[in-house]
Amino acid sequence: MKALLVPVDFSATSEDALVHAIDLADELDAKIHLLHVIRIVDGALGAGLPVTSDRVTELIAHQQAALDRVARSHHGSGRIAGCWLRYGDAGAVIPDAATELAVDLIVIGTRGVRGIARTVLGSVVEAVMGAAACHVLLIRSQHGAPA
Amino acid sequence: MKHILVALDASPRARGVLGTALQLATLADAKLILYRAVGIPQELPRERLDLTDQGLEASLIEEAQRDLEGLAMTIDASRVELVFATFATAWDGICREARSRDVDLVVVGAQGYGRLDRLLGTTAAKVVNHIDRNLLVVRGDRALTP
Repeated sequence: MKALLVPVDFSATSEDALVHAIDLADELDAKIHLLHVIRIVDGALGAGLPVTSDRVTELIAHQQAALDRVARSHHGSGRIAGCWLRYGDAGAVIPDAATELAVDLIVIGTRGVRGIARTVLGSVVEAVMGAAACHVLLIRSQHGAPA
Repeated sequence: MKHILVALDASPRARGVLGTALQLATLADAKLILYRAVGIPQELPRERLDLTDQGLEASLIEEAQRDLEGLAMTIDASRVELVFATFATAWDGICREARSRDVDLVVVGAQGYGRLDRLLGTTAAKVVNHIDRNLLVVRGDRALTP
């Protein structure tokens, strides 16, 4: 059976990508893995907070619950095969997870950011595109598209 | 009817990119538009050195058109709506044609999209950053369909 990987960051953009992925999975008779990456870079969480074990435990529980909610909301599709939580730099973690899960395609959402914003937000998509060993489908979301 | 713009360069990997695009087109009952952006090659054959700018451009487009039509003949003809080449910088030509033809999906090859290539700003990297519709970056020849 074919497998797709959909990175989820709980934004409308990643929800758009998941909806597209489910449509595609129906066509391909494929299963979908959901992946959320907790950003821990250089010993700090995404918001710059220092990593402590209590904080990480709390965060993992919170994000796992959120990911499970996303999976449940699409349970009716019958396509969701797994929910995975990883931590690190999303641009590197997503391609690694795709290899580990042996998926055929990564489906990732983007808002199409440009200029200075792209250096932060778009860099994940660029890194995934560059490092992935499989095909990558970029879904251009209409949510929060740049003017 | 959905439309997929397939950007095909002159590399041997273009055939794999086209094969993946065809799989998607078959699934989605979509039509393919085969496109190549043509630029001035780094090395020109001696017989072309004497051509005028316009003559050279026409000659390169004609050659690309022939090559693309040859590729098109290797797949189900009923899936192909259009085969064409324009004289353009690759990433700009792809983004421009995708927009003007209002296609649903653009398919490009990942070749030349390693870490160093991204720093240098290759075609695929620039398309990723400028395209205003869904984009499939094809890596290798792994089949998408069962």
